[in-house]
Amino acid sequence: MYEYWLSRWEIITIDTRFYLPYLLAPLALIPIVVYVVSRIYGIRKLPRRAFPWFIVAFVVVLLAMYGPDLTAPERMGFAVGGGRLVVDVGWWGVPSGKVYNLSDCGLEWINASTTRIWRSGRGGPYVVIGKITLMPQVVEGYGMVTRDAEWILVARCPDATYILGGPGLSPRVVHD
Amino acid sequence: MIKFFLVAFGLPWLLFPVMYLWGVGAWALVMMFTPALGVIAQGEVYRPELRLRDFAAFFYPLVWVAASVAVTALFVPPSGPEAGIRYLLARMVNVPAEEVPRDFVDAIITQNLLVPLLIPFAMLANTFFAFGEEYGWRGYLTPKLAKRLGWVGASLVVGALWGLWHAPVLLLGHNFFEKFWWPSVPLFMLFCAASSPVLTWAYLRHGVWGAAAFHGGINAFAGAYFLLYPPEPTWLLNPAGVMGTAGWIPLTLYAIWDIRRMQNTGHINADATPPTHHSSR
Repeated sequence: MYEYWLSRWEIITIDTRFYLPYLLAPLALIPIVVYVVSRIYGIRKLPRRAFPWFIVAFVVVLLAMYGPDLTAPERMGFAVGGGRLVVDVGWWGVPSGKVYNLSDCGLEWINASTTRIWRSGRGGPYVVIGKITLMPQVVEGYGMVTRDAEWILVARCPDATYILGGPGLSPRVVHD
Repeated sequence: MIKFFLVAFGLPWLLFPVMYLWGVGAWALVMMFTPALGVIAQGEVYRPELRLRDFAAFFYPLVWVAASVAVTALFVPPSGPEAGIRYLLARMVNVPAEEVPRDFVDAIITQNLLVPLLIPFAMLANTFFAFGEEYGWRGYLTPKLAKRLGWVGASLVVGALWGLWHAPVLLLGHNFFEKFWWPSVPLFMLFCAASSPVLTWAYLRHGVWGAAAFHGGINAFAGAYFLLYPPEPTWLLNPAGVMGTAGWIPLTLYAIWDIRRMQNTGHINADATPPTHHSSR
């Protein structure tokens, strides 16, 4: 039996670690812009009424960065093995609370090194969640795949096709 | 002028290793303020007047995009948005163009159709960041050199220098999609030299903020070219390549004519010192 679960908090911390170097540029940009504009226009002191706007700008940046993550379910993932497939994501169109008998689903394994993942949904540094297309195999479905997945499971179940990948997932674990 | 050059050209190269490691991204915006920092370092700060009507210059580069498309159409028939977007997506993730799923190309085309809704934001953001450059190139360096070379000569020299200044990002794949492809630097120097008289014209007509709006318009609208032509080969079918440079020629000729006309009618500050405020003409 193989299970992979991811929490909202894990997604936020992974994102933060990944984006931190990219935040350095805006952090460098702000004092440079303030310095240039203040030198050119002789602004020596910021008016008091400017501060609420800085706070608003800060909150907007934070919301732009983390807003989508905050809409994630508290816990999401999938389990496969023991004759069952459980898909419980509930984000970006991937259903939650779905349980299938593996015998009802056609299973196909794709080695991650032989494919490229295209997605409509949540991308980011570690996990892809949403509508996924595998190229050049031209396989479409909903699911989640982590960057470190070696194998990707394509499960063609009666009402949907799922594309799933997680750390350590392999054809062998389904039979364990 | 030494301090100006040291700061304007030195800082981007200091940023080069950072951009190499983490991607150009927002570091390009930091780089855009180095010419303004150069002017400050030189101790020749001036205060350009900010007038809303000068922001109309943001839309002038649409004429250049149209001219570039028209010039290209003389040689290559347009292929429509799918090929260009497919090519750009494929270059972004380093896969063959035919591997990009149709769904994704369609989604990007739909996003592009919604772009006009973002024009007010694009105008403000692009103009503001371009101001960091124009404050140095058009507001400071061009008038300085114009004392010796005249406005047209100064525009061409500043244009070539301005193109060279882009080298750190060009060598990282900016505009030409190839990392460490050295012809990107001379190609972009030609592009900038060809467009510089038009930016000088915008500066003389609308001041530094007008030139910044014009420059912002170039950055905002250049990509529209790819809706008709995929950039292959990148040196030719590219708004920053030969066709984009050729698109400047009619506008540059007009700008040179109008600058000379303004000079003859005395509408230009003849001693070419950076004015303390930039009134039209």
